Amino acid sequence: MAPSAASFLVLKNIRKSYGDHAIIKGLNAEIEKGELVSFIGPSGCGKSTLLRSIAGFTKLDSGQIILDGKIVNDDVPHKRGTGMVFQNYALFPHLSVESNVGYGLKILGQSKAQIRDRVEELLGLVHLPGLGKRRIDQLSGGQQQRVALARALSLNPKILLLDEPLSNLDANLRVTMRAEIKRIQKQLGLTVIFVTHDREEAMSISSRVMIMTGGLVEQLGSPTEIYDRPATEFIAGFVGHVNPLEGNVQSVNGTQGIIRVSTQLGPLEVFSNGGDFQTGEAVKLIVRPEHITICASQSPAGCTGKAPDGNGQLVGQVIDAMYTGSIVKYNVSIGESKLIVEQYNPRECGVFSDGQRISMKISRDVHILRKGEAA
Amino acid sequence: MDTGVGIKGTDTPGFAGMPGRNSLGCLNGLKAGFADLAKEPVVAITTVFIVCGMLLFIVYPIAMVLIKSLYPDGVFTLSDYSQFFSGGFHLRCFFNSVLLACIATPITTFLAFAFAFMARKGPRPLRTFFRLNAILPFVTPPFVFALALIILGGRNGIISKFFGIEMSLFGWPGVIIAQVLHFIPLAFIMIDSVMASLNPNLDEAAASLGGSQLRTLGTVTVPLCLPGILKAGLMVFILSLADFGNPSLIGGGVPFLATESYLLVIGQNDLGMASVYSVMLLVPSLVLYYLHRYVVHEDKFKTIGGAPMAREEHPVHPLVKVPMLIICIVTSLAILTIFAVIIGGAFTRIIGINNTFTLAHFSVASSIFALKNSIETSFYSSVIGTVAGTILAFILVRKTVPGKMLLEFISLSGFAVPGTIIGIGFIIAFNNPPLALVGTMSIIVLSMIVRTLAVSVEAGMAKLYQIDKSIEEASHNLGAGSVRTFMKVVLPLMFTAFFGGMVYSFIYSMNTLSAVIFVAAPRYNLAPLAIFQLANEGRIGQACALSLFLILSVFLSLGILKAVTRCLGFKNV
Repeated sequence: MAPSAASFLVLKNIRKSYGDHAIIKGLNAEIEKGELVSFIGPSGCGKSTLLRSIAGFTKLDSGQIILDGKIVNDDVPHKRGTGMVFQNYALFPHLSVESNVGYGLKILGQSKAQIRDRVEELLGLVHLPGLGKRRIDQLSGGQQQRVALARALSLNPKILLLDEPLSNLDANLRVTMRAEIKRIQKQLGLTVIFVTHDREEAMSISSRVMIMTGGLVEQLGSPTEIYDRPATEFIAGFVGHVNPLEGNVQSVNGTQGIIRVSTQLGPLEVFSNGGDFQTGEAVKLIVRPEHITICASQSPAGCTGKAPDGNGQLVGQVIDAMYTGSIVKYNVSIGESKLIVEQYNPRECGVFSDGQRISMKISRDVHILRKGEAA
Repeated sequence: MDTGVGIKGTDTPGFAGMPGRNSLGCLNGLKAGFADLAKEPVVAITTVFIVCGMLLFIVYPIAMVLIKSLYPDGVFTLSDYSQFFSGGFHLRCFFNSVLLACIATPITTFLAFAFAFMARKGPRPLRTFFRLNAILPFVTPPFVFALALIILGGRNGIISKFFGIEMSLFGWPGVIIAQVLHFIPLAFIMIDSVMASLNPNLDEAAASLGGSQLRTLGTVTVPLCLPGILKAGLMVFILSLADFGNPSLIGGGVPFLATESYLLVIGQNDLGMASVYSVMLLVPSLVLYYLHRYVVHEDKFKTIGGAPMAREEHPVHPLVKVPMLIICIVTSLAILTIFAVIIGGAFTRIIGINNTFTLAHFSVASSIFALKNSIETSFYSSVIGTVAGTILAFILVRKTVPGKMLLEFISLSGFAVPGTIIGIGFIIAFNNPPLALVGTMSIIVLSMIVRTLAVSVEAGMAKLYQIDKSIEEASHNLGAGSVRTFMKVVLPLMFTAFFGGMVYSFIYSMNTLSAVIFVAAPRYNLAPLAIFQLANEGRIGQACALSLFLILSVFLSLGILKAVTRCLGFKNV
């Protein structure tokens, strides 16, 4: 989904400061119709402010918000065609479920019957049929979340905005609710922006993830792009564990698309992935824990037990092992260096114990960052 | 100026949830209560001591009023009651009092709401101004408003003179204006605290669903503030009903229950009929107070947690803003005018008639004497009352004592029982040996404690509900007994509540009139009483000067107390 000239939502050079404190510093992004995009980033990165300015609750200093071809900067919130779910839901505590969901419909002047039907339809959509008469304080957190969702959808918004909607729920409910959001998004073909600080949440439900730092977009891409081809070392570390290896390009094999990099662990051969690298260039390898396969306990099967000679084979010693069922997570020392290694399906080779020497192999499919990008 | 300290302690009371109120199996509770007390002798002794004090100085005098109304001359008769209900003058007093409360309450509550709203969402430079104005009337004795209104709008008042129009504020208009202006702070504090707890995202949710600001105000803000508004209204109603100073100064002869019961005692020495009046005041007050405290719940609409995100304020629509702004500005100017008139009156020979500057009004020995007495008695009563109230709060919240609910109800009755009833009760109860206290300083102090105990109990209980019990359990776990835990752990944590209660009690005692007017003797004249007498005698200049002294000494004592806490480093407890 490459950004095109006529994206559904265009954020153009957006700036916002509170006093001297710049929150958003000239941000650009484009979102397509039907996408579910997560805004994620460390706190203070401006993700909530950006969402609130799309909703119309925060006035921009400069820049344009173009929704469905129309500049909406100066429109009042309900004229923008946005539906909003707040972090604390902001349900009207003195109104019943149906009055909450029907609040906007009533303002539109719809008839009682119309409102009743639409409310029932929406409650059905969020799997709360028949609960219209309940008071808000009679609902569980998850149910309140569903009511908030139904209310935000009541006016058929062009785009649904969710501000950390799951952060008040317990872990299990969070997983259920994110699946629910995904289901409703698909069912209605909705365009959704989802602000979160939970990277797993973002990765698991989004069609694209927008990572923000310091009021700017650091990377906007699909979860796999973000994880496998992070634009910076920061992103690499933000979305998962990483073993960064610094090195220099020793040689480039253009025909095979393989480059040889000298690292503190010795030379490694990795795929260049179309990157145009020069011999001698300083690079950083983004080695994920799952890029490293444990071959065996220093057994020669596939592992030489010697220092690597470019085929990514290493010998190290287990510092500690954390067994979590489907995965064993190892901290491994190789000389001065330490690596995090994850072994999936530990039943196959068993769990290695602390102090045991093991052989490992680093995949060629690690991501390479140029020194400048790695900053 | 900062009345914040005094207010802080009093804005939480009444708002805390009250666990332990559920009626436990009465008999079992009693048994367990006594058993627990037996294990802790110091707690038991303190409890017994405080309970005796409450029985003697709260229950006994009020009971005496009830008894006196039924046994006016030692023999049971309902003649005073039948006379009261037979119509005519007595019933008119009752209806006037109720009517006054019915008029003053909605106006006060509406103004307080406007102030609370504008102090949050009005033009930024005016917010503090509105907030201060809404609290300012708290520092004066209530009837100072009546005094200023007499100077302004009396038959020879400044307005008549200046504009050359025949007018008089005496009677209903004067009483209503004086009451409304004086009760604004209380209603403001209650409504403001509810408004502070409103989730700003609710406004935004309404806006995103197409709600205009007027609509949001009507369908979201006001309904959510309703419990606070209702509580404030009930409290203002009780105060208006019981108000003594304003109706007697500017009532212009319109009879009200509180004023007439005073005249019955002082003028006709008819304690029997005065007691009937008192009962007629007491019953609606208690009923309303019960509603206020146990039925209306302010936290009814507490929304779920999660940081509300609204860094940005949304401009208020002119249709909402302009009328509210005008109302608040006019009211603020009225309040400031009252203060200006008092200051003007204090420094001129006869304000409005002979506006020559003079300091003569300040050098009246009897005024200084009364002020000294006021400070002295208020100090004693606030210290004793707050200590007792805090201990009582601790016992009520943390200890199992028999008859807990009743104890709580009695200790909080000071809020509800009109001052005139305490005054009349004290006269009946403590006029003869062995407790012939009438005319002594102790009876003044005691009457003040009775009226302010509720504040420290409330503040203390509210604070204790916030302090996790496990903190005390940790102290017990480390070997400390109840007393040590209270002194070393609870008291320091409760300091803000303790201090707030003390400041409030002090200010209240400095300004109170309705109870002490019955029990104070000439040799223990008090400042509010002296102002009242001076105003009645037409010595307006001296009355203004003493009022000013009183206001200044309230500010001064607030400042001193604040400095003391800062020195002690308790500010952020």
